[in-house]
Amino acid sequence: MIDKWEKWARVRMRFVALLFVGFFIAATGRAFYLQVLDNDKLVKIAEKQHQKSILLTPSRGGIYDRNNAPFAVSIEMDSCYAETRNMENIPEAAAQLAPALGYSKDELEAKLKGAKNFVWLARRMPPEQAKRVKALDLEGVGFVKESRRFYPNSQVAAHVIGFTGVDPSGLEGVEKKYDNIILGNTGYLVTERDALGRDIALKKGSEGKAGSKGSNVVLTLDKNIQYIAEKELTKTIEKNGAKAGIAIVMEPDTGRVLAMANYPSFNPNNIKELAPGAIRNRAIADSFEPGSTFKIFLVAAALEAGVIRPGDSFNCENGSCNMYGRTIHDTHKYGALTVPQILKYSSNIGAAKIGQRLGSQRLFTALTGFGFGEKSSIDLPGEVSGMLRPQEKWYGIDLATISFGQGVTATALQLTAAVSAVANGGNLMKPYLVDRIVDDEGVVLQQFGPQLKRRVVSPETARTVARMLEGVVADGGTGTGAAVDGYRVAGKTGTAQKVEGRSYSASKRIGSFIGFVPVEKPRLAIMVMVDEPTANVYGGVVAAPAFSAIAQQSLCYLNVPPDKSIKKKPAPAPEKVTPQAEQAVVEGGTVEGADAGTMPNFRGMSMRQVLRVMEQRGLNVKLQGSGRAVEQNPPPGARITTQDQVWVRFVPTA
Amino acid sequence: MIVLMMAVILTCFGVVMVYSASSVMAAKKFHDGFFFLKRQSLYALIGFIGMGVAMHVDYHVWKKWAVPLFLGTFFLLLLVFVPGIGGTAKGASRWIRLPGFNFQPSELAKVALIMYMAYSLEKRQEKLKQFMSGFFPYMLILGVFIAVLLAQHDMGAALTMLVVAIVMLFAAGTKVQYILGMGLVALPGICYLVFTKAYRMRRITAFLDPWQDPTDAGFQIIQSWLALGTGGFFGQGLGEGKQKLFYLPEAHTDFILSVLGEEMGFIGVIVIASMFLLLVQRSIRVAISAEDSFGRFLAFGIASLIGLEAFINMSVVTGLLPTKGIALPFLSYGGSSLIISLCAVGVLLNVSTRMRGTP
Repeated sequence: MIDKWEKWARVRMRFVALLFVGFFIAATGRAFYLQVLDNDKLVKIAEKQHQKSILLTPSRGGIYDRNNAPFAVSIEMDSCYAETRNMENIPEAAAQLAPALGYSKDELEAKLKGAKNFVWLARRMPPEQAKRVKALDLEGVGFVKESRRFYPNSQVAAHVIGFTGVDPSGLEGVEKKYDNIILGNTGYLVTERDALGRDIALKKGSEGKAGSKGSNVVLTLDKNIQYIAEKELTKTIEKNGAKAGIAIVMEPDTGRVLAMANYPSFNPNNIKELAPGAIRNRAIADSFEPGSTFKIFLVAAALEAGVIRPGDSFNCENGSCNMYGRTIHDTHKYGALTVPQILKYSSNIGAAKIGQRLGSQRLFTALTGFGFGEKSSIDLPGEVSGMLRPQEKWYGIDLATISFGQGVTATALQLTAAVSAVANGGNLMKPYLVDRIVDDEGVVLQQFGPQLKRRVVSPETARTVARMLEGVVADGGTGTGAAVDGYRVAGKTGTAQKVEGRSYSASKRIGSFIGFVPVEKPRLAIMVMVDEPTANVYGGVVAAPAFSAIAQQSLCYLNVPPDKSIKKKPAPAPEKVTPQAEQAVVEGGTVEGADAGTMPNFRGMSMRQVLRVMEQRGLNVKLQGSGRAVEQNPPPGARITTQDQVWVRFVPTA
Repeated sequence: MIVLMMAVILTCFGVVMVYSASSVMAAKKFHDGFFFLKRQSLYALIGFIGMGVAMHVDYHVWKKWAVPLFLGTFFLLLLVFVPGIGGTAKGASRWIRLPGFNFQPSELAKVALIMYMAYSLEKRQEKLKQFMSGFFPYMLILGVFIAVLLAQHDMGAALTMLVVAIVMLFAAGTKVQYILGMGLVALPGICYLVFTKAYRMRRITAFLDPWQDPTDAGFQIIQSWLALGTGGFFGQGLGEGKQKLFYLPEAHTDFILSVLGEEMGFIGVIVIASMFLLLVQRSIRVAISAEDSFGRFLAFGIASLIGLEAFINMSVVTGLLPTKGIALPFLSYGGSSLIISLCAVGVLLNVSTRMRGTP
């Protein structure tokens, strides 16, 4: 009995032993599945959890003017980091590093002794500083190339180009609008980390990924014309004690913006010390009552509608006329004026009467046609549409006042585009700033061209209006100051009271002039606006001379042949156009052995040095690659002119 | 001799792995990376001494001590609830605080139960086939123990003791239908236990689909999988594991096998599992060829205890079973578990010295 029982117990124990074998197979089989068969997926998840990327500043593509002169470039600079776990003696290292980096020793030591293994010591250091730190040759201190934005022309075209933030995304202007094209891919370093998020070490065998450079943007802007516009605008503002101002130069046939100048301006290389308001691109972001310049579009609309003919005369009521219970004044008293005379002398009463003959419906339609009340869709951020009330909401006096540019607002760019339509024979072109996008080898990735928005008036109407506008600049007109030696100029002055609160300000005015030149085949449409001039407020006095100066210098620069039909007045010699000497020089410094007019030897120079030299010469240079210059064309010593295309190739230093 | 070798090798392995798994955590928590290494080494030393002593003590002594020991541990288990004596950690109170050491009576209770059952089964072998006198009394005693352990939130120990007792009863000849029948009766009770305690319920749902809640309830098992997966076939190398760096909770205790799997790969896991299998098979053979019934059940109970704990732990770590809080014998950090496991092996070895030759 006992024996049998014991035998059974042994059998059952063997059975349990077998169960354990089963257990073993299940557990190891499962481990085999997890560790050998299915481990790829798990490894990926684990790596994601273990690694942390330290992002590097991506390199931005360049921004160039239409002749490939750089407006914005990215320069490779050294950033310096420490891996504290590889440092032998932190206090000693801190003592050596502190003077080179500009920290206090204690501050740096505290930073290095913090919980993190990876510590940025300095990002995008000046080259001299990087040299000093590299010379220390410390264990655990590493370098990586990061790019820094640099604007070689300082404030020239600052409002158009915009600027970037500390993180390298564009914050304003073209830098913002084309950010996704200009901005390269972010590079990174990979570190391993534990669950508490503290990094352990830079991952071995993986240098992370260097960022890729973004594409380059070539603008329609011409650096020289931009410079002329800014220089003359500043001169005018200062002369008239004004608060702010705008100058725009546009190619009427295409809508290409050649210059867009704003006052006050700023230096995008140093955006930390910005005055508020200085960065606003008033040319597109501010709308104002245009005043008499608006009469251009009224007359064009009335001629196009056939309700007036050039010879029609209107009674201008001796300077004072009652309409809808309000009195409209002219600055001078006139009796009967023909249509050209109404423009020439800028009669508000005459304009109001033309407006009444045209009717509010047709005026509204024509103004909309000229692009008022809608954004011009220029490729810049922050544009406003101005205010043109729908025709159903025009009451009483509105038709009359809108006829001479009151009770309606527009941006300087809208006015420039609209006057361009008159200049080019009646086509409203879409204003644009970016001509093409190219990669580093110069291959065009995207080309932008002129875009016709719509035909606004017939070529005949446009030509008729242009002739009338020529009269404005002729002797006796309000805009004689806008005359340009040797060229026939068409244009219109405007003086508007600024609106303060709900009524017009007694003293604050906006003086403006818009026009184009030469009249027959216009090459330039120019708008000058002066905000709150103090001495004299009339557009013909404050803005017209600036128009003249910009036109004069730009036409000369563009080699536009003078009109034969106009005799050259004996006038002071035109100012030197090329802005070589006056151009904003970013930093001092000379290059030895380089005669003016010969190609310097750039070999071994940094991009920044090359740009500085080219800047001083007023030369256009095309930069390729990054690092140190290794190759150039033309070769050193060759004779060159400002028209020559110069390129320099760079390779990164080891 | 193989059993002794396996136990020693596994313990040494454990000391190394505990150090690898805990050094970074210990450095942060105790400012001493060797904190757990020092302690585990000391426990191993004590354990080896205990094992050596037990090896040379005639196992028949335990027959006399079985009942007092059993009652004594029950008293100790109750003592845990006395404030000032009991220690608490992570919502569970299962320790008795001694100077410099927290003693876990449930570990002792497992061995005490085995001794008591071996003694009792030998005495009542004729009655075992009956329900009222052969099965029910054990269930009653077990029920009391389990209730106390559950009150300490020590589900792992409760389950281990239950299964070990059932396996011993099975070997001793209890009718299988009693065991199955009891299982059916107990099922509603188990469900009740699971569904009423939120943390148990969450362990079950996390077990079924850990990815549903990867940051909370499923966190531990996912981190364990990641560790094993990262290890691959050959492992990352000793000390190179990353999962132990605060990702994997309980890296040096219940989940030490995950760290081992990450650092030594599938090779390491299968070596450890094989060593356990060998140890268990050898121990069962000792039981089978023991010279009397007491020795047989004693050896068999110890073999089952080690085997069950080892394979349940492996199943938990690989996600075959829900997490329960069962340590891996010899390897996991923990003084009570290591010392008592080694002493139990010593007892088993003494049984083996009195084998009556292979039948």
